[in-house]
Amino acid sequence: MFLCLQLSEPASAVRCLTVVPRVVADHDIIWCDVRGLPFETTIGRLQTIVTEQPGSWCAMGIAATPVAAHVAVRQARHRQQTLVHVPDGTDRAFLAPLPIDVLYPDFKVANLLDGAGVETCGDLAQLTRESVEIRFGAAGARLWRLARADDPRPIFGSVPRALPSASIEWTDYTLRRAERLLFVINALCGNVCTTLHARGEGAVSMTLRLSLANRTTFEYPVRAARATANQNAWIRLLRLALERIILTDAVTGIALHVTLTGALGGTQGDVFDRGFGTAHATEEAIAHILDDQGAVVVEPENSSHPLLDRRTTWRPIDASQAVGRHTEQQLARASRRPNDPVLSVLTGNVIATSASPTVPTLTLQLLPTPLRITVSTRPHRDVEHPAMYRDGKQTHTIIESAGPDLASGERWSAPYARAYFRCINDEGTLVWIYRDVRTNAWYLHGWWD
Amino acid sequence: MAVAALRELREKLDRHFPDATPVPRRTTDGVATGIAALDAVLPNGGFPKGRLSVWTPNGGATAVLRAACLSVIGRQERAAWIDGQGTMAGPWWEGGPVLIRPRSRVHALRAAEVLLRSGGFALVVVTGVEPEGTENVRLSRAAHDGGSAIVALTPNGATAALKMSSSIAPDEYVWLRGPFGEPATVDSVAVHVRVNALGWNRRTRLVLPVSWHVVRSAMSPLLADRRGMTRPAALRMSA
Repeated sequence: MFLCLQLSEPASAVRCLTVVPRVVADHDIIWCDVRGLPFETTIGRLQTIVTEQPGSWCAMGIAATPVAAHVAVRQARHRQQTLVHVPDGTDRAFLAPLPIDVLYPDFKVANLLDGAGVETCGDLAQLTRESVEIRFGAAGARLWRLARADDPRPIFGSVPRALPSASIEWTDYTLRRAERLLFVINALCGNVCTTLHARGEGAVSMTLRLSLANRTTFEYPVRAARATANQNAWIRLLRLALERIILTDAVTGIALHVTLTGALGGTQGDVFDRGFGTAHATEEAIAHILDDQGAVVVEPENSSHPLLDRRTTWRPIDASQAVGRHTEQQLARASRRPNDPVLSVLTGNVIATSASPTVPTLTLQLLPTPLRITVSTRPHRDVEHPAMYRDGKQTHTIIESAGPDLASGERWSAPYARAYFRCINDEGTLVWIYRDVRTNAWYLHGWWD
Repeated sequence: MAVAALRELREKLDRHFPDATPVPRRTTDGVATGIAALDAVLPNGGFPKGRLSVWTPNGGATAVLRAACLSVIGRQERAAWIDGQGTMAGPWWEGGPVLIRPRSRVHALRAAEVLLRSGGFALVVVTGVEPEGTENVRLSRAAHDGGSAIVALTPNGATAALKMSSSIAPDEYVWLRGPFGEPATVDSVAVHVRVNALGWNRRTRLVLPVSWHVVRSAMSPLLADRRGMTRPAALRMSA
């Protein structure tokens, strides 16, 4: 049932919320959601509340459809009645004798209706839809539906579901030990995760609220790398959170609230993708690592900086990206090599099973921080080449060297000037050594492997 | 009679301890590296699934394992690379394997264990950590649980099902020389790979190209001096 109110003081509509769960203000009328509430009691309480002020009045219309309730409240106001109640199933009959103007027709449509001799809602309702649409257009068809008490307007939107939460409080004792707190949190987390599973959702973030004996509360937000309803994953995160928290007093209550949810559903996969079957497990594993260690799953973003160690920025990626890259990389390779027998599966050219051979290449491995070394040099064509170096553990003889390759720049910020040499040492390793020209110090920067 | 008893004992051991069966018996599948010469000397035509393989660091091991990861990706499976020491240079990283740069050695091993147990990766490579002893046992168990192949760059391979090592002789580098005969760029290198397992000992030789990048941003070795820096004494003397 829809209850429509017209008040002498529209501001008093706020007080209606003490009686009904939802109230919507629409211009000069107020809509109240009375579905599921005892009819007479609710009407009485509403009337009492909105007419508390001396001299104030209210008109009420109640019907099964919004259009009938709207017309009813105007009828009540017109007749100076408090309430016009349209019984269930009689909305169309209620509207039938009333003039078409109660539906607020468009000016053009009103003229056309007047010209056709349609005066009441009942006259319009008894026509067929096709004839109304042909003669009066789309606006006429909308009016025809209203005249038949067919009003699909969603006055009240769907009620958002409360996010899962669980809590427990105790008064007989207090908890101080983390293990006991975790035991209680595990039970609460189980309830929350069960609810999430039932809703087909996963939590992205939760808030752990601890009530302390000194009557204060402590809140700690916990966030997962991806939406999950896995109790183990959340307990792992909550345990980590507990390890970081320092509380001022003992705990007398714990509450766990989900603050953000996300869909659990997986993406549609490719039937030729062997990795699709394990995509979920893979994503879970990577999310586990991200939760445990932070942003350690990375991919490089390279610039054209002359120094290799300043060229790369490692950009963190999340679990779904890491799993999604699996197929993206194949598609990228397929686009580069359209005749590749395996990769063309993804582009729909040929179906084959053998992989193309991969050529291994010795590439440079860079030390995160260049290692200071002691170098003995020998002159060669006007340049001092390294002949022997000691890296702190052992001494290496350099069999052959090439260089120098010079890199210098950034004179105004962090200037550098390096002379690089590629050297083969007596162990057969191709190493990358440089002399810092500004300080004349030698460093081992990397090796090829 | 003794031969029959031995065969019976071996069958009984295989039945009761299937995970202890030597790799050359081909009871497990292999993850092919995509390098024909290497796959030919590996017991199962690749790294054994569900088992730990170790490769002694250096000697071209990283190059071969990166190629193996790309080969796995090419077969539409997943591979992960745990860069324990953070030595992977960004410009040479080809997308495909999931790259993890953990903050510490323990984190690297934990990440490896999680990835192995997930069962979502055909090949997991652990570098820069050099697991040993009980760590290897733990990785072996995780690999067994998930069915993935793991290759760890470590010289400690007591519990590994497959042990590999590679070496490069200093004179096996092929240099491209400049107009005056001095070495300019390394073109390729011959890598000797040795594969060991219980009852298995094979060797192969791979010729690998060497990648290089242009760092030369100055044409003269004295350019740095022109920017207000002191010249080294050795250079002053030789000039």
